[in-house]
Amino acid sequence: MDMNISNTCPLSELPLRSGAFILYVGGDENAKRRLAELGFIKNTYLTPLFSSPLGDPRTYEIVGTVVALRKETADNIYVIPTKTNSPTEGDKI
Amino acid sequence: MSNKHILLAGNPNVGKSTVFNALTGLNQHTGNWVGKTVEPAFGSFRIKDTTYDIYDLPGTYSVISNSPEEKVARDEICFSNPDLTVIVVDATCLTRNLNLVLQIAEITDRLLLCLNFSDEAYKKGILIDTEKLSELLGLPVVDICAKNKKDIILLKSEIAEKVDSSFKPRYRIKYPDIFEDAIRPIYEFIKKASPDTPSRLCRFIAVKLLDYPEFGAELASRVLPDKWISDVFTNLIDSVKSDLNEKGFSAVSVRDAVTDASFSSAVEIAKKCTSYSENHKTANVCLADKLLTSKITGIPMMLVFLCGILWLTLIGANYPSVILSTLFTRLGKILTQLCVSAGFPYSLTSLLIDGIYKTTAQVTAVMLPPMAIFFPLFTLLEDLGILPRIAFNLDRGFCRAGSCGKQALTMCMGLGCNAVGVSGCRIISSPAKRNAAILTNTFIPCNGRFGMLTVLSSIFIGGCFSDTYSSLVSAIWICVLIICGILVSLLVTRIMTKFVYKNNRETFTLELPPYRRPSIAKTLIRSLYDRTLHTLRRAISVAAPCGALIWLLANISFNGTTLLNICTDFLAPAGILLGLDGAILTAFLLALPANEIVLPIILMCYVSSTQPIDGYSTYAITEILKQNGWTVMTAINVMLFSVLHFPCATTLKTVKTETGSFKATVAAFFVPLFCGSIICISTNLLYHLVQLILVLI
Repeated sequence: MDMNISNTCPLSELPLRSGAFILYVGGDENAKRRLAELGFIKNTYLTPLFSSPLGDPRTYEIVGTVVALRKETADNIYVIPTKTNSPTEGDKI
Repeated sequence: MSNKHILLAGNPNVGKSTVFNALTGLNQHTGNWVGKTVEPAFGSFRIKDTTYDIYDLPGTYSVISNSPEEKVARDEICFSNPDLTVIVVDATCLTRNLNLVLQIAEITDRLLLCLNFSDEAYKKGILIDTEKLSELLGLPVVDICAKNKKDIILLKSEIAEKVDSSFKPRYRIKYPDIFEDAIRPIYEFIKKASPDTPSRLCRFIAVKLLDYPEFGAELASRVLPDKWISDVFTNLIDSVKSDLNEKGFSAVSVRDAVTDASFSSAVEIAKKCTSYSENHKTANVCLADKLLTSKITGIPMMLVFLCGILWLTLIGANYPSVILSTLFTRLGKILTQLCVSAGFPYSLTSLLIDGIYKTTAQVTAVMLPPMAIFFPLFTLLEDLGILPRIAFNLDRGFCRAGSCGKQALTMCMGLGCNAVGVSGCRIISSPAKRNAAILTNTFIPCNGRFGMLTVLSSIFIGGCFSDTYSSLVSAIWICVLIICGILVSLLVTRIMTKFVYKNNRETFTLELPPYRRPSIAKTLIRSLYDRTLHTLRRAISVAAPCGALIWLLANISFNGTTLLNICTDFLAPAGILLGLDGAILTAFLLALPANEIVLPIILMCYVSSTQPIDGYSTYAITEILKQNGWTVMTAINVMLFSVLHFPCATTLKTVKTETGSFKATVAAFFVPLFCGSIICISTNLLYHLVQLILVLI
């Protein structure tokens, strides 16, 4: 899969409707565990879908579900944006 | 005749409750909502001579951590010795669901996978190879659509068959080799100490002792005989841990490795048995989501929704209320006649009918309709997927108050009935935020208080204006009161989350499930059956004794003055400080069972009647109040105090049940009382100050 590894960014800065792979999930342990249960672990593909009328939180499509995260949480998740559109569910690098 | 013990597990939003209801019909005990299922819902079905008892575990994403829901689920799976655990799996997001399946498979062998929504998955272009899945996991898989009756029969027969068969699941989460080596000695120790414990459970405990030592130890203590929990055991674990540490596995990285291993295994299996058709689209935002959450239409749609709820509360619920109270009045007359013909003395009849019966009837008539409307409505909206979207839209605002968007929903419910709002707080997952939401719910004026608010504001606020504007002005005034309640509620939430519940750093995550058509009839029956009647029983159990108390106070005299008057005189100084009077304060205290009887009791005190006064015309009420020295300021203070005072007894009792804490219940009484007193005292002082200045000028 061709992708641009050089530019990582916080998940909160990933534009809507563009795909990315998770590189790193930060935050305290409870946060990490909660996020992992929802599919936010390294190498998982996700797409920001839409944001709430007030801009925050935003929703992300991940492993076939839609999950809303606040900006403060998404700031702690680093992703590698990819140009390929919509790989199948749970695909890995 | 035998009983089989079956557990039903699964992620939230996978149609688990639909499966549970379909399996057990109405043959079940009250289940709780998402959140604090301290005791799992329980139901049963029968095939031939066997009764299958089904326990509905709380919906969780995992069973390895220590949140209350997960603890309940895990303890049931580990220690209740189930004959079979059925895991409901959503075919549209297999990976995440498999994560839970694999975790549960770590604990027990006796599993049956129930693949739900594969029709929905098919529409989305996701095809799941059930046989492959079954083969990879080494577990039986039933592919069903929970709304389809035939499928439920299939599931039942599958459960009946699998309960008696033996299991040998092939799959086991593979941890990194170093970690596997670390688990082994602990596993062997546990197995030796407690040979009766299933091997899988032993291994699970061994893993937990390393990644979550605290509850690993708790699990171990339940399995191991006392003499085995010794220094030898602790030393063994310590040496394994330090060994891991040397190899670069700290406590945190052990946890990460365990989470990672489980999820990667899930990803791997899901990948092997899922294929996609050309229908498959990702990053697809449906029209409903576009409308509900867009910048332009999102907020207006929320407002329409909230207005709808307000309408239902203020107007819709009143029709059944009126019908009920007419019925109760008739029944009251019949009961009086019965008492008379049974030869009861007058005072006893009066105590029973005017005291106990009337108060209880009034509480029921006012509380039942909003409850009967709200519980099913919210369940329906939740099933439909609308509630999570509202919480999502409003989260930003509530985030500033240190809470989350779900509190907006509980506040809405509070408009109907605070007891409903308080139990609705279960939808808030963080304990700190939930407690804050529970304690501040009473600042939202409930249906029971609207009666007095509308009467007083039409007399004292609207009455100051000409007829054309009076109803408009009084409506605006009520809105101002509601907004004032909301603001105080947010402010207090802010203060609480900042100072009282400091460790409130829980990450906010909210799943937006796909829109799904709920089964309306079943939801209606269920919520009416469980929640409504349940709450009502609670209401009646507090209303009846309070009714008796009011009657006794009004009818027992001491040196020629009734106890009620003694009360009023005693409370007069406090009342005057608040800009009220003794009678008003007495009324608020006596109306503890139900806020709707505040005004009747005030009138009762003024005209020295022996029972609460109801059904007076607005004109008569105006006259009585004005004769007793009411001014616009008194009315404003009464209305403010009505919005900002202690909740009714039913709500308090609900707070006790929900939080399980006596302290929280006491706080639920005094925090609002304190806020209300401060606000009333300051408006009162301000009023007198302004008056003084005007006189001086």
